[in-house]
Amino acid sequence: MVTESISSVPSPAGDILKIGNQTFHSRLLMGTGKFASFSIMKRALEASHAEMVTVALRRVDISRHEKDILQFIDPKKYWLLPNTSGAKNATEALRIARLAKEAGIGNWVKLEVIPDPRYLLPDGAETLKAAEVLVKEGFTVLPYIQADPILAKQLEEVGCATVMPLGSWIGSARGLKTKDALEIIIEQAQVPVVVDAGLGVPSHAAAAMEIGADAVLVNTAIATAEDPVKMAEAFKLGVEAGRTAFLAGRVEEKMWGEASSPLKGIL
Amino acid sequence: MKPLNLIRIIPAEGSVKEKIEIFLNGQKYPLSSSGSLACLIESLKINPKQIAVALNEEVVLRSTLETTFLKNGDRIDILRAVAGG
Repeated sequence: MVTESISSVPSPAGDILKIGNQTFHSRLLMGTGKFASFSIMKRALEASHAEMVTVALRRVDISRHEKDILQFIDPKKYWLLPNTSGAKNATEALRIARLAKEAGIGNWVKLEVIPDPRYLLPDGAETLKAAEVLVKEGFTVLPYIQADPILAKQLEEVGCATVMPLGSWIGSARGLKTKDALEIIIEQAQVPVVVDAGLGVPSHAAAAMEIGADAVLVNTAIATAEDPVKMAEAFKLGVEAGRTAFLAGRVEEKMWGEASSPLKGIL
Repeated sequence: MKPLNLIRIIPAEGSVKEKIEIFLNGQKYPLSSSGSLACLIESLKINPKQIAVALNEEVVLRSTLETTFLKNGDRIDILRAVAGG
């Protein structure tokens, strides 16, 4: 696998995202689920300029030959982030992370522990328990969490490489429902904050970047759009717009109107 | 397609030739003989690269696939990367 910077895609003013021992130019992480085909996924990946992509781990179907997703993800271009989806508690998450490592897809892990099938909300206590063990075992841990500033701090303290609070429920496309809490997490975090889940349109991604998120992770909104390749590009632009705006420093909100044209010399 | 009923695994040298049953990815399969996990993977024509194996819910280290032998009633899971968020 690549050990240093993974892409030569230019970014505004050398604006680099560092997670663990890796650097990235793109601040859009992409999930690979729900695409109509691997070839559409591959084209969407290219359009997104994402450099880190998530995959899941599942049982091989031994009754038939399946296409191998890894044939469609060039390891020279993309950093693989296996997730622990399917895990309902810390024990299951640990097993999945260790299996992914044995499968040779790296020792990074998007840690998700989800006991709730309706809203797919992550279990913070179990996530923290699993994170502590995985960090000790040498994993680079990126935990998916509710927008809980205390938990984010605890995960950072046990050595997680990022925190990944949700904007809203996975796959809900509801946007930044947790904005106030995200702002607290961003203010306090010493590790990159990746807003994961619930972003439905590029303006949601832009809004997350504008408030200072270091990156966003998007899957459903791209994969299930009418034109996933075009939507991937739109999210890339949204993330870049939001990031550039954050670096530019936004104007303060005011209670009253303030004229943009001079008030002197009016007829 | 119907799942395989019998997996004819290539027996490893020195392994006992006896019929056993295993649970492979949650389904019961009779095997024509015992053998190592590496033999099982080979007989299933699964590319051994980028898969992971759990035996009775314990992660099997890649380096021990050839020396881990199947026993009657073992639960084996063979996993690989798939699309996911």
